[in-house]
Amino acid sequence: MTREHPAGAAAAGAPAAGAPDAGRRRPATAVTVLLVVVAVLVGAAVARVDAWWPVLTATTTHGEAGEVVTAGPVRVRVDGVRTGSVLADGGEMLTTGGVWVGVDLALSGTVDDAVPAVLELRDARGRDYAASTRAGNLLASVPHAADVPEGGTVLFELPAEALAGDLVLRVLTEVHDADVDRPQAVAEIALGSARPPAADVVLEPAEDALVPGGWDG
Amino acid sequence: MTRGWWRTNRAWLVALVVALGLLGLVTWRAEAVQAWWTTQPHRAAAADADGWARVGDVSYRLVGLEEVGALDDGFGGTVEAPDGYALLAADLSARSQDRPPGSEAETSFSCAAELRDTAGRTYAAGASALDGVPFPEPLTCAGPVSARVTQYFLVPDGAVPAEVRVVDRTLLPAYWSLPVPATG
Repeated sequence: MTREHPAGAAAAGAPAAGAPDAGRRRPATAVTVLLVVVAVLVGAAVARVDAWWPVLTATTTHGEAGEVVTAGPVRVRVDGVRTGSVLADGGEMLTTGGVWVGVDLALSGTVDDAVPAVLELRDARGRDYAASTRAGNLLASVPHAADVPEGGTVLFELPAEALAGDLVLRVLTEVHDADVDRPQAVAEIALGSARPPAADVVLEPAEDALVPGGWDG
Repeated sequence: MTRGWWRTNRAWLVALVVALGLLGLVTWRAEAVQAWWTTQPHRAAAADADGWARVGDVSYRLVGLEEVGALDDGFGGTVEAPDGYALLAADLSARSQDRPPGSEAETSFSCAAELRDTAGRTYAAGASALDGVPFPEPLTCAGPVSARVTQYFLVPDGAVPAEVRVVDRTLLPAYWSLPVPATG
């Protein structure tokens, strides 16, 4: 690729100061230093790009109960929060060492059938509790058509002391397309505080059903 | 590196940068893009002048699409769309091409119909959000067929249908694209 150059042979040695090749080495050294600095800066930028460019991190949409909150492929609206010490789940009475928390909500897709990847409650201490798999929780696990909201109750089992502060419902989503770097869309809906249930209070989940009138109803 | 070295090798340096760029372009998320492309309906088999779209040896035609107030639940009753929603019935015709005797492909029912509206929203056939709705009629994707089937879709009020798609997961990215005629 390179041609032999008479000057190259001279530069390979150790020319004395003031020799003709000394002037040529200075620019070469400067270029090397410049390239090293650029490489270090690029490396540092790449390492920090997630923090500097938030679009590459999860995008979180915040909302409150009663609002339709859109997070990527899913829309959700919380209609209420109820608690119980016993859960009436399909004819079975489920007791708990903590409390049952039922979040009445509606879900739909945005452009296609969509199902939330995770539904969880975050307590005031930052602990996350996923929707219970002891309960049916069908609403949280079946696909919902675009703008065809279905309502029902998603059930969580929490330690009683988790109700000491405000709760936040977190809806985490997944996108299945070519953009593998697309950030995860998360909806965080402030629920406020939930009152601990009295003993033997039975929580009865609402039946899953289409929301009358749709999102505009 | 003397000025002469840069001058002598500048063409190779440009070639190196271009080659690295091409390499990055080819390998950058190639597997993910390839997987996405081949597992989603991306290659539309458009309808001909008579409305027939063909994938493999089966053609589909959209005979009609209309809103219906209710559909038969299969047990003598009906299921109605609640306020805020509309039930659409798509009437589809399917036919297979003439093939030499003995060369027919095995009959396959692995496809499903989708409705796409002008807003880009896609709805699966079956209106499964409604209680009591029977499973959608099976659609033939391969093999000898001469059939007329109706597929039901539940959409929000105001949705404007643009296209009915018939999608066979085993034939992706190809799919049958049946445009819905615009209504005045």
